[in-house]
Amino acid sequence: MKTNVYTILETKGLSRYFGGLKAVSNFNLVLMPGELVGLIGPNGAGKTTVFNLITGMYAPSAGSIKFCNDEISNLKPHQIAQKGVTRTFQNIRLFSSLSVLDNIRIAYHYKVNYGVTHAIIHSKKYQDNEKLIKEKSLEILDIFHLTSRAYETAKNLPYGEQRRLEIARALIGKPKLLLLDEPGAGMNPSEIKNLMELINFVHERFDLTILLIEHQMRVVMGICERIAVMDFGEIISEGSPDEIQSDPKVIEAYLGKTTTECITEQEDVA
Amino acid sequence: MSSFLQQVINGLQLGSVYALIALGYTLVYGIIRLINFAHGDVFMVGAYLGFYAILRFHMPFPIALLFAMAGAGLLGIIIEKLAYRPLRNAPKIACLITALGVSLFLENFSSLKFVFGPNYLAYPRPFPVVNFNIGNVTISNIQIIVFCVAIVLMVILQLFVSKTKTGMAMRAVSFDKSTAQLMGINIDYIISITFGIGSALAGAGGVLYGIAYPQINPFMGIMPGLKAFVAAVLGGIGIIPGAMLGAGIMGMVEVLTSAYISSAMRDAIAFLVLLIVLLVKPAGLLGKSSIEKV
Amino acid sequence: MLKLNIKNKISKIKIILFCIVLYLLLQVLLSTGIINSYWQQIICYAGIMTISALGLNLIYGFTGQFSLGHAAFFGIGAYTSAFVIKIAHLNNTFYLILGLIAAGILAGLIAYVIGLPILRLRSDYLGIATLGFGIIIKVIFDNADAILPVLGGSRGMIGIPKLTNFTWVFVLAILGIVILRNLINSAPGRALISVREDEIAAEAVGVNTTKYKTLGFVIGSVYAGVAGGLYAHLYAFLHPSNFDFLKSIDVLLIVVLGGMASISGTIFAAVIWVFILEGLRVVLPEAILDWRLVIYPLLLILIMIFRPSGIFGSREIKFLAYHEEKTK
Repeated sequence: MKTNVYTILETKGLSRYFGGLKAVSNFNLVLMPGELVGLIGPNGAGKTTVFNLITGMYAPSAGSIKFCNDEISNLKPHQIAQKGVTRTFQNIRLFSSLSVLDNIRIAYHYKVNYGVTHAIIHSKKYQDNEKLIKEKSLEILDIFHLTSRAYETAKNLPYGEQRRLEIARALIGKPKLLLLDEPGAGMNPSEIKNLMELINFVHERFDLTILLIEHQMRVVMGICERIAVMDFGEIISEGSPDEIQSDPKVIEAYLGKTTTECITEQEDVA
Repeated sequence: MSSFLQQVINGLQLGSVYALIALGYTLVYGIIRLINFAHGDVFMVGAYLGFYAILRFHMPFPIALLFAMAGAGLLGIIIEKLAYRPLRNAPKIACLITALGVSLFLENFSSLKFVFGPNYLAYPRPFPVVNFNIGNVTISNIQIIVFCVAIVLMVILQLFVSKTKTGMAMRAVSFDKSTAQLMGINIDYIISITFGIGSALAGAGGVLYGIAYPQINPFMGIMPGLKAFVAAVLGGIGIIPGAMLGAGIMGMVEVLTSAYISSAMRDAIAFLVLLIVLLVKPAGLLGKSSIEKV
Repeated sequence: MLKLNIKNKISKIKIILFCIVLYLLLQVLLSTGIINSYWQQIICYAGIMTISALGLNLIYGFTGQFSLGHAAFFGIGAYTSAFVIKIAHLNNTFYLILGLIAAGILAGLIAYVIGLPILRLRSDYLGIATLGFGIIIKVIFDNADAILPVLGGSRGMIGIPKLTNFTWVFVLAILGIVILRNLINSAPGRALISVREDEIAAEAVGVNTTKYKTLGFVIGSVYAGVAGGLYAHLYAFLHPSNFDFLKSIDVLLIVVLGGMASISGTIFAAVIWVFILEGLRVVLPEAILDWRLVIYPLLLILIMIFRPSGIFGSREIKFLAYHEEKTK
């Protein structure tokens, strides 16, 4: 059997301008199947905009985005999601007044085999499909240790569980690419540790490619195989955690020029 | 040709009235993101206050105008305090529905016999009508007065908002309420002032309307109110020059439609304009579209 | 699990029995004249408003689309059914179904067409767009006699056969309730609700928000159209002022007062609203009649200030809530 070597994600010259502001400029990134890649950079570097471009929320001003060799830059967000690219959000976006179970079920709705007519009459097809959805949903809740919360309202969950739910919701459709936008935001060190374990677990269990935006350096350096660094809308460095940690361009981006000079001066003196 | 010019002048008169109402909508929307459905009825109350001022109290026109403005402004402030402030933090729909309720209340309460009564009343003309014939166009002093009063009020408003401390506070609150509060601005006071000013302008509009189209009744505010709102959206909601521009266009479109297409289509055309604006450029002619940050 | 299945089945039987008993009871009271013809009309009107309000609840309460033009679709349905029935000279109450089907189809079609451009708009803008649409429709009604004289224009349409009776209203109301309840508790129904909850998140999990907004809007408008058809053949007279935006506000009030996304709330509020507003017309002395219209908005304001979630909030009475099988 011929194995097709293909890239999961390939952006070429991806750019997005808002009026005169270059939010993203000539962004080139390639993700191979199964990678766990980090995307870091100072605030305002354009990381979330890249996510929004990939998931179809913004149309690119220029450039292309290919997912499994298919051009997706002209697709609507729901089409991209159905193709197998899902994401979580910086500020958790759950369906807050709905139950945990419903949150999951909604993410599965397009895989379901019946439409409005069957729904209205509650036909056998409807009943069978509903049973299936429920099973699958409870399965994934189980994996994420949320079964006991299944019938609770999503907004009543503690923050950490809401995060888990958001990730679970992004996975029920069996995506090939998962985009995580600052999943560690607002977490304390022990929660961070759990998060890192969770991401690693998800990476393996679901056979996924993951692109991760994160500010918490421990998370990024700890679990990412490869890291891309953004500043002012462009990638300024790419490589392994060690490589980018010692890249002067990266240090400058985070700490600023004068500080970098200070550091190098100090090194000379010492 | 003269007929067209005549219609343009008529359109300017109507547009002037709409502008005064539209400004109130845009000021309030700019500051608390509420479509104040009751605004058209404040316009109506202003007209009636002017009516009684001239007819009952024999006030000269400028005094009657100020009286109506003060009364309408006060009404606006009271409405905000009683009906909208309690819902400041409630979901927006609650406020919208309350606004609808206030509107219905004002209309129906005014219809009661011991208040304004349900019938059409003829508006008194506090000065004789004089017509000027320029070429083959006729301009009445009424039209000149309406136009001039409107312009003067709008200029005063623009100066107030851009040059005074309170005006600056108003702009700050409309940008970012919580930050303005942190800067020491008394939000409640500023919002009250905004309602007061917007309502006073509407009150002035009511008196001018009464003088120009001399019949008033408790439901007279519904259509002008809606059309003025369309004008505010057309120009760019929350933008003061936008309300003026939009109102001018709306007045013109309405008068021209009435003259050249059909009087019956007058109302429909206004909302057709609205639909087109919303679909083509929802931010309005002078507006900037904002992208929701994820 | 078996126990729960049986419990569900018993519930279903209980509901069906309840409906049959209610119907028979009312029908007997009506037929024997114990309930006179004035109240008969009121009861039918309550059923009609229930159907219309359920439609708006689907559009606004469940799908989150703020529409102020619902009365326009009610009117489209009314005029359509009246036109069809009158033109075809149908006089048997059974043929009402034809008028109603025409009413529903036209209302749905127009909703689809107008929805395509409009539903893209953000909530308060959607409100005014639908408001504007409603006003345009009313102007069309006012001038419709220029093209179809039988529609009467601003003089009103007369001579509509009185085909609506209690049975029709009751059956269609029940049907409307069941359809809505079933729809909501299904995958497409949940997709609709997700649009209300968070459009961006919904798209991100694969929900075609445009499709579902349209679905909710069209179905809700079909409800309005059918209700309008029943209305036309109840009062046998149509005037464009019955379908202006004030009437759209009335339906909106019912939905909000009852509790958005609560089917039971909508039914309750619709019935109460009709009985208080219309029914009181007979009871109140002449002098106080006008105060009705003053107190009604005052009550509205008070409810919005003190209990904005409406009477039922988002709860349902047991019959209508879906018995979720809670597996451990």
